[in-house]
Amino acid sequence: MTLTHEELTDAVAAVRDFVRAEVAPVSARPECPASADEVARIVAAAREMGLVGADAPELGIWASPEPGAVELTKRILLCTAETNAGIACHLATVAGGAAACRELGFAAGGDTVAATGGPGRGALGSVLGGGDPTPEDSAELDDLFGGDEVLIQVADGWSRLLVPRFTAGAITWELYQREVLDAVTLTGSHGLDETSTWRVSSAGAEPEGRRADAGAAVLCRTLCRAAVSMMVIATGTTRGALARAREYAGERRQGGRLIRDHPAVRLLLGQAEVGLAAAEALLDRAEVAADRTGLRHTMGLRAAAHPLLCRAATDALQVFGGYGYMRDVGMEKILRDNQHLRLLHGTPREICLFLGRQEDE
Amino acid sequence: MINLDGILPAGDPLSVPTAFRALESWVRPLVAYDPISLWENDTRALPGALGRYRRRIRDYARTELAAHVLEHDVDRHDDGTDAILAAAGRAGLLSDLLPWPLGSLPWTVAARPLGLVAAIKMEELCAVCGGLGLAIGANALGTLPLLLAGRPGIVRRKLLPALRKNRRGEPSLFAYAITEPGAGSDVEDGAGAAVCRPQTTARRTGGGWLLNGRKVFISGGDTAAAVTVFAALEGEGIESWTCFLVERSMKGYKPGRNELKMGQRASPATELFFDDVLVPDANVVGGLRRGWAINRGVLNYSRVPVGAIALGIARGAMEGAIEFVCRTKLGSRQLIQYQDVQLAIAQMMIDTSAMRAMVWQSASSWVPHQSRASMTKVFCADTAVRVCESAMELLGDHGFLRRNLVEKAYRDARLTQIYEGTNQINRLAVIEDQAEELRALMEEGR
Repeated sequence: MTLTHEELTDAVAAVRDFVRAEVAPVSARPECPASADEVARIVAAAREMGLVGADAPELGIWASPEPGAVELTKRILLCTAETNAGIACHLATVAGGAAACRELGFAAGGDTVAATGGPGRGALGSVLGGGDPTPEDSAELDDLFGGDEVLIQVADGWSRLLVPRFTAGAITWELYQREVLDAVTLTGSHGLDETSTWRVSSAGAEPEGRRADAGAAVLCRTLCRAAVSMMVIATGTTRGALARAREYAGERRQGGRLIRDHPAVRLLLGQAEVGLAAAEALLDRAEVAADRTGLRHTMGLRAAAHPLLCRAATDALQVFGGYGYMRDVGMEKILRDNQHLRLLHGTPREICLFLGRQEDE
Repeated sequence: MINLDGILPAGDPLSVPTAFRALESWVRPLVAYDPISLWENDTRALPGALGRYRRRIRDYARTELAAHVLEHDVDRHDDGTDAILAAAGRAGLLSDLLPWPLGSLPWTVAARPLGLVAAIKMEELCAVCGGLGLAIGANALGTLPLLLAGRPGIVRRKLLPALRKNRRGEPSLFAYAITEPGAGSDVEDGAGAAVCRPQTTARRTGGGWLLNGRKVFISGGDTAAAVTVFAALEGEGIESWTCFLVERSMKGYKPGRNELKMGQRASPATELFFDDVLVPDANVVGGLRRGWAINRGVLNYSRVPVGAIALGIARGAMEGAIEFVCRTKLGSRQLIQYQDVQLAIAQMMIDTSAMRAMVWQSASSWVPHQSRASMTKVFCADTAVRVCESAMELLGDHGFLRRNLVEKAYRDARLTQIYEGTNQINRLAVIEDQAEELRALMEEGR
């Protein structure tokens, strides 16, 4: 998909309207996160608008792995995350699940979550490269892709789970209806308050379908989509944080002058801006690839971006002093969201282990 | 005994314990290998009474607080921590940190610098829960102005009866109130204070003072029986700041809402309202216009314990991470068997040991030193946040789950970079304290 500049601008403008109308009202009080019902209403509105959907949306999130569609996805998620990271995360998750279903040839049907976790400690690289895993690799891959239990981060309302499996030296996929799974929410997560952490067990459950063809390629794309989603959402929240910190610094007075005139505060704002700019540059280069090399590229960008974004968010919070720590101000939520996004679908240290292992090969 | 990958088993000829045994018997004590934990090693390095105190507080925190950590990590904390505070009072934790024989410490402990005692106490409590640690420790902050007032009478009349109540398990706590809605950093920094117009004021009236205004973010303000409140005299600036002891029963005094905080939730941060509160002259703490000096003195005393709070929180996160990597398997091996995990754990041990060394050194003199107090607070707060981030990352997608407590440790640690003066203000306090030397160098450079 190739969008002209005007088409992209129009699409982003429409998304901004959507965020203003649907997402902003439930995000006005950061200490009271949107309920599952409110998130479901937003998802319904997003589906109606074509932002998410089981059928291939033309101008939606993760419509295709083509650069133009990825660029549009980035813009949509950035826009949403500037207002609410949790809702952006949920939309990215169900859109990513739908994309994986399409690529695997599963029929559309309800909101699907692709439970990919992260890259583990590096054994995944050997499988994606087509090599024979060592016994140690196999043990790790069995843990990553062979277990009955997975953790997923999503708001309620999901109806299917897509799980990669490592069998006979290859990646296959299984699709489960939620009814056959044992799914419980784990009380309390660090951030992304609009979603929940679910522990889902497929023990004894029969999958609705299995796919072996192109399993590794879809896994690469799925991991790339997750990586880009995490990066772009954290970038969006940090944009929002920096804008709010600048606004506050222009209103709050200490020492007889606006705090933006204190070099200590300027330094915080400047550091945050540097971190954000660097992360945006990294994000620009992130893509959705179907092979190990592309996955490696996007994962590396992500591992570099998250620490920068967490640092920027914490600097922005610090500008607010004591107020930044209070939940109703919203800055602490942004920091929690960024910290949470740093850990989802593979932490920077796991990514480094994954990349380091491939370097050796 | 299970082997640790990459580390030689104790019986191997090349292992340190076995190799050392080959040395001459009189040399062995010089290189003795002692397989004790870092905590034990540090504790044994303390004077005997302080070591015993450290063991007692750790045991107390583990037996009395650990089971209540999650129940108090809640958004709304209106049900309070009364039972925990009552038990802490009976255990002497709300009447210590006072010069002997005023407090409840045995003289063998109280004979040591109280800052060091406070640091040991706050590390041990906060290793279990930063919020509960603060809820117990904030009382000492509230009492400090009375001790620095230089008036034994107010200690005898106001402080000692409260301490006796605390010992009976009837908490009668003090809170410390300096921050105002429009003045956070300004009340912790000389240059800011010079142009600050405090909004909480005191007007002379017959037999006392009428207090009006509002304070915010006051630790323990919701349940405090008495608050040391700093107010400017009517028509004057912060140079007139005076400390008033406001008692809960005084008409016109009203605690407002408890803030919804990111962490340290077991210790409420409360808004306090003063509406023509009549404070008798006898409740003026330390004399008129001495509030600023008392405040700066208190901050110098309180910043090292904040460093200890950060240290405790970081240690708690580290201990949580160690437990996780020792019990969690990936690829048929416990995570601790992987070298990179060992490196990460070692770095946490290095960081927390460095924090403790700084805290104990800064706390080991009877009189706090402004630069050292602020440096300790800044270093420990920043390091604690880093340790907690590292712990979260080691737990991977279990790191953001509340039940594993390391994400809570991160939320708790983040506050130490803000309260008792932001880390930026504390860095400036270091420069302020070194101003004479810097001015001299500037003169030379003219």
